[in-house]
Formats: sequence, structure tokens, C-alpha cells
Amino acid sequence: MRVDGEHRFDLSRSVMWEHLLNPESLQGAIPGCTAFEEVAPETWELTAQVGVGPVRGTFTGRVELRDREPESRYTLIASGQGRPGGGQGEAVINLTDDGDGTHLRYEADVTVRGAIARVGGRLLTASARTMARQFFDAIEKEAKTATERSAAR
Amino acid sequence: MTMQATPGQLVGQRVRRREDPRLVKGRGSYVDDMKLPGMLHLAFKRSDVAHGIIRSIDTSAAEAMPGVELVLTGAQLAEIIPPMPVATPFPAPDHHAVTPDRVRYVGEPIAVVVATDRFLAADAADVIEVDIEELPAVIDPERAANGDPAVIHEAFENNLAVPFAPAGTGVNPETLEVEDESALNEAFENADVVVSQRMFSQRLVPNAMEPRGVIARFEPGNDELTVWSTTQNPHIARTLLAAILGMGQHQVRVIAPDVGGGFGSKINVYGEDFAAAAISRDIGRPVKWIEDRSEAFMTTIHGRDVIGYIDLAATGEGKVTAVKMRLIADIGAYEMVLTAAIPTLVAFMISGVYDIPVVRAELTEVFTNKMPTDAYRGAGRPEGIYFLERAMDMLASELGMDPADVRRVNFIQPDQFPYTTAGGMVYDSGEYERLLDQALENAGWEQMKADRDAARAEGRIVGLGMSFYTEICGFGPSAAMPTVGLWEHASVSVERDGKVRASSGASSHGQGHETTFAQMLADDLGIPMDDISIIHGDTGQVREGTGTFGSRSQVVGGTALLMASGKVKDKMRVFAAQMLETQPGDLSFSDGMIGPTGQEDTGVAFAEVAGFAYIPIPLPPDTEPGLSEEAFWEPEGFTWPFGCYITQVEIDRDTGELELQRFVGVDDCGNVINPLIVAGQIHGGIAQGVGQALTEEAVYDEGSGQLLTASFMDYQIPRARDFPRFELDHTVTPSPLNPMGVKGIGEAGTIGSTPSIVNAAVDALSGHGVEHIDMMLRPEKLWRLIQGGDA
Repeated sequence: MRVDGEHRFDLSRSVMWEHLLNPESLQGAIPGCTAFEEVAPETWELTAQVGVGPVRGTFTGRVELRDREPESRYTLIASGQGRPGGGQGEAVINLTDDGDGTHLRYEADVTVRGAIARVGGRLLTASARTMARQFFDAIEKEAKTATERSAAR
Repeated sequence: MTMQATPGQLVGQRVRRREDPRLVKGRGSYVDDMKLPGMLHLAFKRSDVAHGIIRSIDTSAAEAMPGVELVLTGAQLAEIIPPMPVATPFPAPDHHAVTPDRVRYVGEPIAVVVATDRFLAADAADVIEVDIEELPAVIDPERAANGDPAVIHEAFENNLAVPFAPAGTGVNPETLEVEDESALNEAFENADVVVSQRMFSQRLVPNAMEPRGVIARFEPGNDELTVWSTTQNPHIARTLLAAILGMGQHQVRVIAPDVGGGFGSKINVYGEDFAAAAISRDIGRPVKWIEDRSEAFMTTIHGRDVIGYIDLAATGEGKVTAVKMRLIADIGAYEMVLTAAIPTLVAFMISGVYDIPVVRAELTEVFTNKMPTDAYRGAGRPEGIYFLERAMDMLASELGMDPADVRRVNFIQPDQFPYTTAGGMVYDSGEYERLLDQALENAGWEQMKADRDAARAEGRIVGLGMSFYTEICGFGPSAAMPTVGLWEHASVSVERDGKVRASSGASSHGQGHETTFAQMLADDLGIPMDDISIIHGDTGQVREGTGTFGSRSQVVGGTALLMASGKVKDKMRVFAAQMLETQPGDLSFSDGMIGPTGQEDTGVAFAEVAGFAYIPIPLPPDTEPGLSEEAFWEPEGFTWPFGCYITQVEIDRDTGELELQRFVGVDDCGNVINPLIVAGQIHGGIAQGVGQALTEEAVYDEGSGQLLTASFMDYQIPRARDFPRFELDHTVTPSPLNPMGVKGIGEAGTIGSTPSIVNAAVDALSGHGVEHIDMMLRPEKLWRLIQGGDA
């Protein structure tokens, strides 16, 4: 299944780049994330509570960062497994300037299995987009807070 | 309604179903209603991936959970039961109740948990950890047939399960080599017109209202196993369970209580049934498993999934001179009880109702990483009739002929019966043109065409469809299923008080046997229906049987009952003759009396004769006391009901939504025992056939092999509001092959309705350059065609 989308941040590309790859920001921004640990360089293991329609559960997964091109592009390889099923995917994230802010575009190829797969593609795409939006909103909030904090200092 | 019936007071009447007050008031008793002392519950850990090798299974977390008594992996279960049986003569790969080593479809059982309730069992199954090395999922059957992208069973090269060709079609059925191409070549070379089309009869989910379920109780004290099952055919289930468990048939009893529909999907004995029986025997306690709806989508057999490459040769007058069908059946990951046999029925349907001199059907059955297919209402005949009836409409369109006329010039004529098709099928009886004329008259065909043309002139997208089906029914002679036998068994016992207990091996799962069988026996014995109880669905009470499938219950089961009833009557005549001091041969049964034919009321009461039979003083010479007889009956051939369905559809230009506006049907199932039940069967059949045309399709993801339509959110079955009032009628052409002249009606609606709807949709869109549309006809597809794009 293909999931793609766009998001606009008010903050600059260099600020967003820093936060999008910062483990602390990520842990706070990933919806339902309860544990987040670096297990190898640019590889993290995480636990998150996720719900897709009527199917909900705790998932443990692994995220790996690849093909990093500073401030413009990176690829995430992710896999996860929980009681309601599992999945894996690869997402390419592109950042470009958008006035004072940043334009982000993501394109992900995702395969899922188990009850999550059976609840239907339509719900799944909508849920994935919602979670992406929640994630971007949260990470921007984190970034703003951090920027204001350092400005205040 | 035109109808004639065999003489009698109840046969032919619209008698209301005796079972309905029980079933509709929640007073039925289904497998899940049963609770046995000490009963444990099963849940299955199922594969989330379509194809892979099991590297390891960790059951320790599940075993540690509260209420869990036992966890067995497939490998552990394989130590106590062998692979599952098939009932076809074709080679089949090993298929274990729970897979020991590889997974081959999403939902395949990997391990089984036994716990004190079903929720604890399900929770424990969730925490079983399985490490699977994934292999490419084989989803497209045409690619699969080249071994692409993987081979599913090592012993079956290029995923080829079964190659098949019927005898008499120029192909040697043994070697499958083409022996004689000349007739076929000649027909196509000399044809004025050739129609060629690839068509697809898509994969469907049967969706019985009651999911599958099983309770197995092994009693160690007497080595007896009792299984309560949602089966359509308890005796076949008994035979297969006994064989796999290594038990005698006398040690296994299978009970099918009330069963909420099957449509063929409950013919099979499934892995869960074998596992439950084996586990109960192993632990000496009763165990229960009830399928949930999600499992029903994934792991109850699917139906159809046949691609047909159809070529039809004809003269300029529309006379068909040859038909060729190259068929590819996607049978899924394994062969189940009848899996490999079902697509062969597609090939046998190649002639339909037409006198076609040359036919050629070649079938390839292919393994893919999907749930196995098997019998689903119609089972092979809907696919065959769909392919042929679509091709007939394409021929009509090519020649600019009325679809009724192109059918009329090809009909097998009444004086040709019994008729043997070029593919070797023997049709019992038929009068097709009479039925077509009835359908055209009832529909007001000429007016319909005029109305359609007027609507089109207004810019509306309206189409008319027609289909004319016949089908193989009343299964049948045993030669058609040599591994099981296809007779039916019945018993009729007259009790001391004149009440009657009759049993049949044809086990009702919604069809109304308790009513039709009682109607028939009431007339035969001359007693009220209320005095007769019909027993079915229990191998402990019904000595033998085959089961309910292939529109066979009335044809084969009904005749067996009539035979048993005849034997009882012969014996009652002996007792009555002694009481009346007359000859047995002169006596008849009417209105609760046995007496001289035509003057039965001067004789002796049925109940009095019954009482005398049990206290016979004096006992007539050479006569045993009591009144209990049984009969086995097997037909010498299949019955071939037929019918014509005319439909009108309108497609919304802006949304692509199709509205079914008229449905006119005339069926001929021979003599009718109960017109109300026949109508019910046709209504339900039409609903499922329309479902295939318009809304139903089981879809697996091409890359991952996940079932994408695994709930009613993504798999739409039609609702009552999707249908117009069905305008139904009958003609009666009795079958000469059974004494009641009946033919079977359980599948007709499903077979005839689908092509009629698609023909109507293609007719509607003919102005948009559309010659064929593959099912299902979802609005998006139709909208794109209206917009001038590809579907």
C-alpha cells in the first residue's frame, strides 16, 4: 500500500531537520510512543500504542535511517509487530524551502498483515495520514518549544 | 403461476415451513448453543503471511497464561493425525489440519490453544511467537502456472494441480493430448462470425449466516467419539473423521443440529474439525471451536475464481457451430474435499441449452497462496453458464440479432431428449422454447425493448439482459463421485399409534426438508403432516446418508423416502388385508384410512393397522411384526432443470451506480412439491447471483498476498433494498429419472441471474463502445466506461 502526503512547517529547514532526526523529539512526537531506544547507529527500537479503526494494540518495532542527505532528504526503514498484526515499510522524506518555512513531502510503501490488514485499506490509509499529521504537528511543537527556550536563554 | 403436480392433497401446495417458527423465534439449537460439562475451548494461531517457511514457534508465553491447558503446534498435532483427505480422484498435496512446516495462505492454522474459555484461548494464541521466513506470494493464477514468482508445492511443478478435459471433445482425457483438431478447425474456418473473449468469474466468499463450529467429545470409557458440527453432510463427515482418526465408523457419531446455511461451504470437513476430534481423544475432554466472522472470510472455502478464454463460431443466421473454452481455475493453496472436482463442472457445462456439434474444453487448475476454493452455490455451473451466456449475447450483438432469437435457433429440441452433448453429458428432459416464450410474454419483451429505446433517446443509460441456463442437478449416480457414493438413504417407521418417524441422510441446513419431506409422505401415506416427524442430521439416528448439496435432496433424498414409504405401505397392506379379510393388492391409503382403492373410507384406520402390526394376533404368515423400513436410492443420471432470466438495469450517468429495475424469471425444475419453498430457493439464489454480478469479490493483494476483503466493510453482500420484486413463474417438464419427476432448484437462481445482469449492463453501455465488462460491476468501473475510459 502506498501512503503519501505533504506538510508545511513554519520553522526553517535546518531547525526541522535537526528535530526530525533527534531521538528525544521523535519519542515525544511519535503517536502513542512509550519507549524509544537507540540500539545501533541510526537505528532505534520503539514501543507504541496504535489503533486503526476497531483494531488496537501495542506494537514493538525497529526504525532505521538511511540515505541521509543533510537538510533535504532521508529514508526510513521501519518494521513492527504487535498482537493485532504487523507491518513493514519504507518512507522517503524530502524537505524543501517554503518561504520562511519548510515543505515536507513523504512517500511510503507499506505492507501490513494480520487483523490490521483485514480492517481494510481505506481505514488504513486514513489512519496512516492522521498519524503522520499528528507526528508532524507534535514535532513542530517540540521544535518551537526548543527554539523559544534557546531564544529565551 | 402455471403448475401441475403429482396427485395428492399437500404436494404442490404452498405449505408454510414447519421449521420456521422455531428458527425465527430464536428457539433453534445450533452448535454454539451446546455446552457440555468439562468442555474446553480451542483457538488457532493463524498465519499472517501468505507464503513462507516456519523457522520457529515459541509457545511458552501462551502456555503460561491463565486457563491454558494445552498448546499444540502443527508438528505436534501431525504426530496424532495424518494429513486431511480429499474425495476427488486427482492427485493432491499433503494438507495438514494445522501446518507443521510451511504456510501457504493468510489464515492457515499454525498452532492450536486449548483453554477454559474461548477468550483466554484467543488471548493465548495471540502471544504465540512464530518466526516465518517469507517467500514470494503467488497470487496471479496465470503467472503461477509458469511457476512465477514461486512454486507452492514441490511435487507440483509450475503450481499445476490438475489438467483436465472432458471425453468426446477431441482431447484424450487420459493423456490430455489433442487427438483430433479437424472438426474444431473446420468449424472456426467456415464460421461466418467468431466471438472471442477472456472472461473472469471472480472469487467469492460464501458467507453463511452461521459461521462454522464444532464440538468433539471423546468418551474414553467406551472409545466413542461424538462430534456436533455445522456440516451439510454428517455421514460424509463421520466417514472422513473415522478414517483420519483411525476409528471404526461405528465408533463415530456426527450430529448436525440446526445449521444456519452453508451454500456448499459446509460440505468440507475442515482442519479445525479434525484437530478438535484428535485433541478431545488425546485429552479425554470435550472441546469446542466456533469460527469468528473474520476467520470465516479467511479460512472457510471460497468459490468460483475461474478465468475463461471463450471462442464461439457461428453461421450468419446465428447457429453456433463450435465452442471452445480454455479454463484456468485458481484453486488456492490446497485441495480440500471437492476442490479439484468443482472446476471440471465448468467444462461439463460448455453446451448449455444449445445443440452445438463441436465443443472443446481444456481446464488447468492452479495452486496460489489463497484459501482453497470448493463448492459454493452452483459450484462450476455458474462459471460455465456465465461464460456461455455472455458469449451468446456477444454473438447476438455481433449479428444484430435479438438475444432471444439467437438462443431460439440453437436450442436442443424436445424430441432430442435424452440428449447427449458433444462433451458427453446426458440431459434428461427439456422444453426450452416453450419456457422462453413464457418468459418473453411475462416480461413483455417487445415493450421492454421499446421502453429501453425510448429511455435511451432521453439520454438515460438503460439495458436489457437475458440468460438461459441449464444445470447439473440431483447429484447423482455414484460414478460421478466414486470416492464417496452419491445415493441417499431413508427410513420410514410407523409407530404403534399411527404416527410416523421418517429419516433422511439429506441433512437440512435451511432448505426446509422437514416440510417438503413431510408433505410428500403425508400424501403417500394418506395421513396428516402433523403426524409425521422428519429426522435428519444425526448419524446416530439416521443410519446412512450422503448429504445436502448439488440440488439433490428432493431428487435423491425424496425418492429414497418414497421408496421406504412404499415398503412400509406394502407391509401395512398385509396387516390391513388380514383385518379386512381381503387381498393386500387391492388396498390403498387415503384420509387416514386403508381400504379398497376408491373406497378407502370403508376400510380400517391407518392407526388401527399400525397398532395391529405391533400386537399382531394372529401374525399373518411370513410376516415380521412391526412397521419400519429403509431404502437406499441412487439415480441413473443427473437431472437438468432450466430457466430464463430477463433483467432491466439503469446506470446513473453521474455516479455509475447500477439499479436493477426488473427481474423476470421462469424456471423449470420439473414437478414442484412446495412452490413457496421453491420460490424461497430461487429468491436466495438470485440474491447471491446478483451479488456476484454487482458487489462481491474476494481480493488478495498482489504483492503481499493479504486478503483485502476480509470483513463486511470491504466485501459487500446485497441487501433486500437492492432488489426489485422478482416476477417469477414456472413451466413443468418432469424428469423421467425419478418417480416424482423432480429436478432440483437450490442453485438455479445463482446460476441464471449473474449473466443476465452483466448482459444487461453491457447492453446499457453498448452505446459507449462496451463489448464486455468483467465482474463485479462496481460503480467506479461503470463510471469510467461512461467517461470513455477503460474499466
